[in-house]
Amino acid sequence: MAGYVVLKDVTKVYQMGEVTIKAADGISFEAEKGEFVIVVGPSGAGKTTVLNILGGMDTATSGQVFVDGEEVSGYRGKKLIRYRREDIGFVFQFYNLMQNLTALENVELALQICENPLDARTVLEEVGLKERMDNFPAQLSGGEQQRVAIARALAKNPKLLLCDEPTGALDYVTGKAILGLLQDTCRQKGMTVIVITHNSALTPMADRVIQIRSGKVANVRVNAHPTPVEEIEW
Amino acid sequence: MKAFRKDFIREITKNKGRFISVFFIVLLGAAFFSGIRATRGDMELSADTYYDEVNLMDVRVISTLGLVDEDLEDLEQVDGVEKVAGGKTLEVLHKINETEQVVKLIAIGEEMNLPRVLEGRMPENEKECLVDVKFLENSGCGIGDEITFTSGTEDPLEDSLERVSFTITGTATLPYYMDLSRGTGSIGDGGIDSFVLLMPEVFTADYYTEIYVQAEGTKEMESYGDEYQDRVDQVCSAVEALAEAACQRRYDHLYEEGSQELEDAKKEVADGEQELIDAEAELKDGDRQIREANETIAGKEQEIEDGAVTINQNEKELEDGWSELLEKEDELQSSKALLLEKEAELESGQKELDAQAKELKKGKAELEEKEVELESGKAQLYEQSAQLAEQEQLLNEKEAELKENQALLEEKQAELDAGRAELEAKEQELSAGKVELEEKQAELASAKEQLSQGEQELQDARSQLEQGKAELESKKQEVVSAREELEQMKAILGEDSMLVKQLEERVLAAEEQLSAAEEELSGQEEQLLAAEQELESQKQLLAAAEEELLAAEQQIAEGEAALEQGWQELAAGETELDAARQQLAEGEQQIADARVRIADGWKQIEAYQAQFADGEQQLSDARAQIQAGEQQIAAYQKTITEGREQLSLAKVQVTDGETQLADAKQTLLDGQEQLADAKKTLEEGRVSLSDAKEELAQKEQELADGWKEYEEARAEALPELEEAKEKIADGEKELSELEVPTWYVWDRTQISSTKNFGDDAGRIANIGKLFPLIFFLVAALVSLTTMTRMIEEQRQQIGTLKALGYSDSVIAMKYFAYAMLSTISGAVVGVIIGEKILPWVIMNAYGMLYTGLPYYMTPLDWYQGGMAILASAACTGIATLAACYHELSARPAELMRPEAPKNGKRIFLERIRILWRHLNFTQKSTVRNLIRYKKRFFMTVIGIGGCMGLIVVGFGLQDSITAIAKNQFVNLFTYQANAVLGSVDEAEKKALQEELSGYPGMEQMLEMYCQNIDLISPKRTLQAVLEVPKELTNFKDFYDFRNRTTGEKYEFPEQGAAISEKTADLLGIEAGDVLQIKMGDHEIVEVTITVIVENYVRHFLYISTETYQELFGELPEYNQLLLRYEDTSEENEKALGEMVMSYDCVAGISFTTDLIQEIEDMLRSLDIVICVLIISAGLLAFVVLYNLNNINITERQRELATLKVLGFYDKEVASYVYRENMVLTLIGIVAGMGIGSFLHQYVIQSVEVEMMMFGRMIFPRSYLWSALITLAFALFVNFMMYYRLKKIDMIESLKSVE
Repeated sequence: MAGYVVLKDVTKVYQMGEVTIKAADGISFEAEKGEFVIVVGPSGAGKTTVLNILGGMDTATSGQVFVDGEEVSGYRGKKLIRYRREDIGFVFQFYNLMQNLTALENVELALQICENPLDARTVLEEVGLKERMDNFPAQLSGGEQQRVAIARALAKNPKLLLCDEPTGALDYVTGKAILGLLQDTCRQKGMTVIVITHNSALTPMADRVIQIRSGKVANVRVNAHPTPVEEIEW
Repeated sequence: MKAFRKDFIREITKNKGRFISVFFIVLLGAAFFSGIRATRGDMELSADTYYDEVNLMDVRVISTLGLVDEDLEDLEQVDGVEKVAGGKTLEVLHKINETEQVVKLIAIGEEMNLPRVLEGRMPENEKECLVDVKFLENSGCGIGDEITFTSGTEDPLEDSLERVSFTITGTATLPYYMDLSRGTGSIGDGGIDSFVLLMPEVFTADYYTEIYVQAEGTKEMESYGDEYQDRVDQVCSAVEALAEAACQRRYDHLYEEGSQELEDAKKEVADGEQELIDAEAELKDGDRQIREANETIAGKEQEIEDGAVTINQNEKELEDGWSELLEKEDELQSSKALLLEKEAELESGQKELDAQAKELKKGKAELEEKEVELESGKAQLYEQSAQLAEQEQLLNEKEAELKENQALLEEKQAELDAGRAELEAKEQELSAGKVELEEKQAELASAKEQLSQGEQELQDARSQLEQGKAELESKKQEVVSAREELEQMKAILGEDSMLVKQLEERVLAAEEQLSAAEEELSGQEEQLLAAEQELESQKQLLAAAEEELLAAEQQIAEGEAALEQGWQELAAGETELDAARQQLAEGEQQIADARVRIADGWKQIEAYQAQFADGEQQLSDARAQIQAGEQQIAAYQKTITEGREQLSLAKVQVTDGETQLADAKQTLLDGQEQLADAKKTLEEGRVSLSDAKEELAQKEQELADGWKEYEEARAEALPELEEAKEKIADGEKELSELEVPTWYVWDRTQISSTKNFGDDAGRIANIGKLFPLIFFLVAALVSLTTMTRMIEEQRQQIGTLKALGYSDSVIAMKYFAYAMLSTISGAVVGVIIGEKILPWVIMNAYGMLYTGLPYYMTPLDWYQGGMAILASAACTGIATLAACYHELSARPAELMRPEAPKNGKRIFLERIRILWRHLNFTQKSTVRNLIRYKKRFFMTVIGIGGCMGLIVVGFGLQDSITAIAKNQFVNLFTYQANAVLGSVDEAEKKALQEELSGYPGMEQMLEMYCQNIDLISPKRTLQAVLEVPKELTNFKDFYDFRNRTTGEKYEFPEQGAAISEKTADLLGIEAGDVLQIKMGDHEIVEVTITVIVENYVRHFLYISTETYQELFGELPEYNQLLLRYEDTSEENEKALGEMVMSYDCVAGISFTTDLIQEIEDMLRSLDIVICVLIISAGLLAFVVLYNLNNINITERQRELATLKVLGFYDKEVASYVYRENMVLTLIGIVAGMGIGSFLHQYVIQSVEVEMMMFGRMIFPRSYLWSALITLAFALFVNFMMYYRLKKIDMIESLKSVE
């Protein structure tokens, strides 16, 4: 029970008519506070399911999830929403920004529901968007949009930053920059960051790599000396 | 193509919601469009059907002097007339309790205007009648009651009717009284309250009040159609052409009849006078004759007195003879009676004696029978006692046997007890053996354990040994190889090499160690062998012990089996014993029972013996009695024989006496007969005399009566004759004043209920022009959005199909067919529902007003229905094709990609920094969203605005209509009553005015001249009412002249004329224009319009008396009296009305309160129509909002899911959407107010009838209500959406982009 994030024997079963699909089949792993964790595995392995359960967007069929000592897996309804609201920052593959809000406003959107948020402008400056704050998403490049999304997640000052294929829709260079931003955030702010990717080439940059295959944890590896992302090529 | 079709069908089944929403929206629109538009036709058809059924007249001819059969014949000859019928009516009063009503009696028509019986039956004779429903309501009478009418005029009712009392057989309606009004009359307060239908024979008048005409071929035409009206107009003019000749003929006839009657009357008077003189002469002659007759009668009377004396003497003698005879007869009679008495006594004694002897014989026989019985009973008893003794003996033997058995049983029990004790001892032994066995077994087990432990140890030791050996072997090997190495080294390096030496030493040491180890090992092996042997011997020992133990176990098992058997035997023995005991007990019981039975037998025998002794005693007593009886009977027989002899002697004596008496009687009878003859002759003489006297007296009386009668008749006749003479003079005058009558030829437009019904249908048609059209447009707009949205959603699929090579038209066909299927099916269903329900609802609403209408027919109107279906199909079809075109024109590759989300944009509002900064964050996003989705913005605003507009119109119509009555009769016409003066008799008018001014509460009066005129402007001619007040000073208290829009008050124009607003509008004139007036026979005159005044009902032109005089060159004959007073209560007005109507010069009086009531009643039916419209508009608002919201949420699912992921609570997500909805709703409401007030103006003007101007105002309250209703619907829809929002699945929504 030492871990900051603990998953114990988490399963998720989808009932699709007569077919039952086991998206997660007894997944257990732990992560420490301030760690940069990469969950890697092929498509359909159940990475996203795990992340959704961890992020309070979905509930586990069985098993337990603890975050900062609190059992999250038992939350339902309003408690679950509050968990998302207070403790979780989400970054998606396709950014999911509000199209008719400017970059700044998109960040503010997240802030208005938070108890002790960070300053929106500062966070945007930190992600390198000082000059583009008043632009609408459509006026920003993909990388910039993802930065806004990250800023929106960070500004909430969450316990966990969950990223689902954050570079999936970006080109190589931009993707690298985004990952760099995430890694730096983790290091400088001591934020616990969990990134999902199917690209195993990225694993060296993580403190902890969790391999998932067919809904099970295939391997957990701790990198004593993670490589900065700049040095990784793929 | 097959797969394509499958896709189409799935599209419908999968997306039921969309299909259904288009279906319902179109349904609603089409239902309203066609339903309201079809109503006029349905209403007219329903009325037409009713008219045809009861043969409502097409034309009615009324004459001021009545109509006769000749007129009927003439009319029948007119071209185009199918048939004619005469009708008779009479206005009378019916009073019951405190209430009085004016009733119109109508002769039941046989061919036309048939009554429709609602309840009860048709009258079958002159004593019965049918009544109006209103009659029952007003009077409180019921079917079966008898009612009596009274005259409303000075003439007695009996002059006009055969009878005045009738029995109600039922209620009925008449086709020309379809509404609640019964028209005006000439008695009572001037209004007719109800009608009563009587058999035509009841009316005594020899002329008809009116003639009904039915035109040829009109039945097949629609009553409210132009074709019908043309035909009827033709007939009317043809009839009018007849009028003059017919009127002249009627006049001539009446004149001649009058003259003839006068002649007859004169002659009658002369005859009467002559008759009086003749009568007197006759009476005098009678007096003389009577005197002569009296003398003759006195002579005859004396003769009769003499004869009577002689007869009296003879009578006395005869009477004495008779009395002697009677004495003798009596004596004989009494001795005869005595004889009979004695004889009877003797006979009865004999009879009694015979009966006693018979009884005695019977007693003897009985006695003998009893004796025999007793003997046989005794023999039986003896037998029974012998049997009983035998049984007792048998019983004693059985008892002895039983005792023996019992002793045997005791012995067996003792045996069994001994067996049981033995068995128990054995059991004890066996269990001890078992315990021992177990102990032994335990020991054995531990020994075995030890043994296996030993074996294990041994095994270990051996494996150690083996290991040691193996090690040793390897060491040996090592040493050997070491030595080989050494040898090699030696060979290479030479022996002396230091290294070799060292090595050699090491090898040697190793070899030594090796041998020592080998020795140790062999020692160990030996030890092991010894241990193994020992173990083997122990094993054998153990096996022996085990065998022993098994044997013991076997033994114990056997013992146990033996024991078990013993126990079983014991139990069997015991069971047997119990059975035996049971048997024994049963035997004992049987014996005891038998004993009791025997004792009973003995007792019975004793009782029988006692009975027998009693019987014998009784028998001997009876024998003694019988002997005594026989002796007595013999004695009596002797006495009776002696009596009989004495009796026969007495009988002979009596017969002799009787013969003597009969001879004496004959002599007396002869004398009597002679006397009677003499008396009869005398009596006849007397009777003829008295008859003569009586006759004389009668004649005398007659004569006296004749005199009296004559005197009376004379006294009566003289003034009557005078009067008759006077009447003749009056009649002559009247005849000379007789005028040629006028005919009125009226068609159905003169029947108010028929006309009003047609107007009302027209009004609905006017509403149907625009109102449902808007409805329909909103619905079409929504279905259009839905289809566009569907195509946009499926752009990827369209792209795929295109990429596969499907042609554009095939792809478009799929959506087009989808749209058509839902639209046309919705429209068809809507048309059917709408055309069935809406006309029915509206007709029902009107039914409150037109209670007489029996049918509500709602056939499908395919013209309106087809329009609705075509228009719906066109709307959605074009929209679908347009949307398809837009998508299809793009390249497949573009289509495959999702449509780029709409970009956020800076909006104008942001440029106004000050304002923008004050908006909070969510408000900003709301504003941007509203502007971003422009299509939705306009759709919602138009949808809600349209619905709001419709509701506003609905309420507005209500406002306008209810405003009429109040505006006109409270605000503009400020008087309370209006008395119409008929013949203008100045003196009477003055008397009336005087009484009125003294009437309590009366404030003011104003005399007016009132006349129907035609107004002619260049644009058109219009019928209006000319009003001329006598004085202008207090005119302001009766009328309020003002401008409707500005409210400016006007003075009565001394020069020129004031005209009502709508009249001016219709004529197309303004203040300052000149207008032509045509009044009656006068020449057309021109007047300048000075002011246009507010007015709502009818058309008026006001001019002053001076102007009138200028225009027409004469003074007006004031024919109206306007009254102002305080108390407008019903009682007061009724009293006032009666008072005013009692003056001959008053033709009628109308009260403002009644007028208001009437108009309000008339228009109340529209309330329900409006209600229906409001509800439906609300319904449409609901469907529109729901649909748009649904689309909105689907479109923005991704956005809403993002908010949820960010941790927005459900309420916050909902309010994010609601805020926009609410703003849109509010904007829609504001727009709707504009749309509503614009529409209202249009609808009001098209709904309006020419005679009326509806209020133009919508009250603020109506706006408020409309807004609230719209808002309520919006809130309700939002509330329903809350659950849809809650159900949005974050994961599904966000992963959808692929």
